[in-house]
Amino acid sequence: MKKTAKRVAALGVLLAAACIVFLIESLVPPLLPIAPYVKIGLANVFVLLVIVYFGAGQAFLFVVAKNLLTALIAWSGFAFMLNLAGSLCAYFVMAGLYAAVFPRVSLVSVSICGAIVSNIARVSVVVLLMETPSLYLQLPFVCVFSVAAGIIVGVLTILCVKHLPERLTNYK
Amino acid sequence: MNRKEKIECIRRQKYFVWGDVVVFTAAFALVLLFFLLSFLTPAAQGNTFSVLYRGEEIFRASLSEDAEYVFYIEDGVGKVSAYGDGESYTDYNVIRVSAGKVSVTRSDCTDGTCRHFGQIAKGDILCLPHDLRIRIDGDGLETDV
Repeated sequence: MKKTAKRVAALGVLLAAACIVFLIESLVPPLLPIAPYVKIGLANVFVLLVIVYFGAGQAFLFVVAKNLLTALIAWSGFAFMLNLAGSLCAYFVMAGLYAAVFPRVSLVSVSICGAIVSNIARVSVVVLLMETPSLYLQLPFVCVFSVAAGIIVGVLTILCVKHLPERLTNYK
Repeated sequence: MNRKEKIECIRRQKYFVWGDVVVFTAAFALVLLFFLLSFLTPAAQGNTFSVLYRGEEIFRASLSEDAEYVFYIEDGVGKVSAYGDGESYTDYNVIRVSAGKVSVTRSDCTDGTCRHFGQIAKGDILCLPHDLRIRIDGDGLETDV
């Protein structure tokens, strides 16, 4: 794949935007108080956009770069492991479903599946690190929250694809 | 379908399509399954709680007495003592026992996660930055779900 300057610049802008949204979201108090480590994952809007416009390969690098950059800005070992596990799981599910079943299911469904897997992965990391299997009892609430989060992320991504001018998204 | 066609498809497509019914049904089934597993797992209310630092129990107290304790880290060692209002601590979490429930009311951790657990009578409160776990000692909480 030819990496033109415009493609690299566009990826850089999306990466910066994803990092900013991620950092702002981390400042917001937890929306699900019983499971404070689960989150909406608004930065997944940009991951989905990269999957759609640039393909799964570059989206993988994008996800890894996003996690490393945000860790550099606000380092916390636990948070890094949570975020890395969550975002990589979400990426694999979203990229896989987008390649395999889109357009039979909408981008919203792709996003919902990513959010559910991401938040289950985050809970699992906490369970593993802190040896607290009782946290799995929160999974029903985590899943319901994730469905809502996935709808928000999916709708935002579709809005971006529908309304961003084509000159900004045509990287050939 | 290539990438450009897929992008065109997203532009034309509505927010939801009929295929989403399958995903929503699967998500609903998953939630139902987790609810069933949660309710089937016994989670008896305990009489005591333990404070664990780096996975090791360093303190245990009764839930029947209302009290305030402070967990703090001194020279890499986790300690728990009765909380005194006038004293100042670093790397600390104030643990309140009230009406048989435990909560973390104040802390200086970076994310404040522990405070958001609220008052609990079963399960755990975690403070990831301090590697602290407050566990209600009830039967059946250790589950293989």
